[in-house]
Amino acid sequence: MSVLPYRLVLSPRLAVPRWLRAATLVGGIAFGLICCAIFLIAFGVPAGDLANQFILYVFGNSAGLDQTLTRAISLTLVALSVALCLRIRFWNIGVEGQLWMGAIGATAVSFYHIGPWFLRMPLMIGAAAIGGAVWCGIAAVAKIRLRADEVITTLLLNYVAYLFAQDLLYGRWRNPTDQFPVSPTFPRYEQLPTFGGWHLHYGVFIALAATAFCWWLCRYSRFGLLSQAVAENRTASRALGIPVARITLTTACLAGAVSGLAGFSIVSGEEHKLTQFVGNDYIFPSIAIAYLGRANPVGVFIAAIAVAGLYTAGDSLKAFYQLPDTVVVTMEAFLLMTVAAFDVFIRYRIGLLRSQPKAIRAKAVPPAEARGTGA
Amino acid sequence: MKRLSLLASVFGLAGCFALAPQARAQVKLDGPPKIAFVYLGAISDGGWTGAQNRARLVMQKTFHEHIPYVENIPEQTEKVEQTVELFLNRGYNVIIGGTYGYGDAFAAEAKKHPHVAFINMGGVTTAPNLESPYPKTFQGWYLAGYAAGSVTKSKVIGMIEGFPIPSVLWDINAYALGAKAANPGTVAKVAFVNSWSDPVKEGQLSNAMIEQGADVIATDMDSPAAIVQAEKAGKYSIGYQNDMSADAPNGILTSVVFYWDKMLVPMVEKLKAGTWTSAGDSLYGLKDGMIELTMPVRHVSPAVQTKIDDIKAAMIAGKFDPFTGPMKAQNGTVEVPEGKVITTDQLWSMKYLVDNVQGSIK
Repeated sequence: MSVLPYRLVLSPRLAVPRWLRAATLVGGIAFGLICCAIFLIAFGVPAGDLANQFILYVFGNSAGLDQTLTRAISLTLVALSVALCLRIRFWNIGVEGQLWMGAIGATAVSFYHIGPWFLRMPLMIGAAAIGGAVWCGIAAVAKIRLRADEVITTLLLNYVAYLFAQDLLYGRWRNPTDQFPVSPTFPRYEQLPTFGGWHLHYGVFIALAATAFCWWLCRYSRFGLLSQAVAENRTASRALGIPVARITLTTACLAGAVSGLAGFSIVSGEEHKLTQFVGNDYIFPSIAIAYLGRANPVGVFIAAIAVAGLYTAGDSLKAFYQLPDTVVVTMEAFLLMTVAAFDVFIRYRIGLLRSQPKAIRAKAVPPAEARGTGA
Repeated sequence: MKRLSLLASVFGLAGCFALAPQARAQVKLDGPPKIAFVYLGAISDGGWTGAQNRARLVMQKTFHEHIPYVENIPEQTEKVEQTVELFLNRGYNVIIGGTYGYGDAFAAEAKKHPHVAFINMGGVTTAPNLESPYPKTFQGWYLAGYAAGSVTKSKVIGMIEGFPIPSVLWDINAYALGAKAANPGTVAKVAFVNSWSDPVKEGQLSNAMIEQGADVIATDMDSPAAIVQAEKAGKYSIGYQNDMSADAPNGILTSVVFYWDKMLVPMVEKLKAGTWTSAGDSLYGLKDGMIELTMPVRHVSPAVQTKIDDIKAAMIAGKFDPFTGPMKAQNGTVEVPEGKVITTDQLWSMKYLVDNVQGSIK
């Protein structure tokens, strides 16, 4: 067919060296950032300002770093939640709902003055974790018992949790001073302390602990090993006597608890009250970060900081170049697409073949792949 | 810092003018004023944010400088503080915010940055370097209510409101009292959307009021949705914040329009001269030109127009206040006794609806 002297040939790789995995990830991100830069320049951002906007004001000075890290706390937690579930091929599209339930749980402890003041914070953390765990657990039980698709159940439970929060904020928990739909402000002992004059709060320790725990769980625990089997083949695992249902439920509850902690970190560390905006816009970033971090807890942590940086940069682009909010989402999508596209280098060896009609080597390659991308 | 914001909001709401003397110190900016705006909504909302943006454009023209803005910043402490710091980080030292719900975040930032001037339009929190100005919207609404009262045939008029906070309650109360003055026995229905902008709900509530017999619909919201519905139903309407006559060309009587620049331009001039002091939760009225009614009022007789002009002149001269006693709340309590005029403290702690309003705060 081809009249060109060479053609591109993709052949599947059997073993993938570690450096290649890392290199494709870095390459994908770099290529994505270049795409973002071209896109922003096309939108009228001067090329010379880009380095400032993306590096200096995001990581290079204390205000930018503060914003980026503060934002990374909740992003890390929700993305860990998605990543944990991804490891057993359980699609958790419900982090917002779990986050709302966590925030509601923590606020309930504060609102009803449960426990003495010095126990209040641990109780809030516990309530948040339970709230999130129950919410994701419902979807897992529905999957195990009723074979309900978790994509649908987790997604729809988001709305239930959001509406429940709205109901509380417009009803029982409404601020009595001005009838505003926010809960009363938490007293100081219910607020996570901050670092000096920064916004960055002790929630960062929760994010670090959760990352470390998930990493240990996935990598070193028996549970992590069994979940790997479940991910590969549920039926075979069941046949081998692996408790598939129990692993699914435990993973879902753990993941839900981690999302719930994100809710706690926001209400206790940032807003100091429950507001209508606590759980907004977490679904897409959580999936994007889990994917960018390859569902690996440490990877997720790094990716969360990177995406948080993107948000910080987006904020200043919005303020100083009047770019719309959607620009950030578009940039995130660019990164996700390029990273996904670069996967082709991991899966396939790419070679150039001399396309001579009678070459014997051409036959050695299965025709389906050989025709993959005819140059 | 958070403790302070909590205190500030509590005291601000209670109308604590005890703070005012402390708020008199002049603010020393660390350089010439560099202004930035933070908006709640989109500048294209045709209402609240649109009106604030008009002021920004006037200021750009007056001071011959580019004034940046950010739109769509929700009433979420963390988000507001981050946005404010974004500007501070680049040397901006006059931060102008645009909604009640920014109050706590602005108070916290004002405490952290004493050499920056903060102005929160529509807020209530104050600090030595934070002023929360608001127009005396009740003056405009009294006149608009007078116009509504003189055209209503069913003696039922309606108003769509955001949240039942004092600066919103005085709008509906003034509107109802104005209507009563023009046409005794008129009742004003009120409905709260529990949002500053929810066009769908605003339209639905407007329709519901028309079904219940209201023949004048006023909106106290960020969007013209309510009066668009009134126009469709062939009823009279009253716009808010901007001249909304384009949204209801046939039925509109007038609009209660904001001119924030009338207060912001002098304020920046004082900042430039180094003589600005925060006036706390300040009120600017018809006299300052910050609130206006689009004139002439449509669909009213020349006699009513003259009467409206007279009341307006009396308010500007300080001879008349819409909240003059006897003023009774829905439950019969006398809020302002005979011969008395409401005080500023009483205004800021208004938590009732007057006796010819139908509706509930809850």
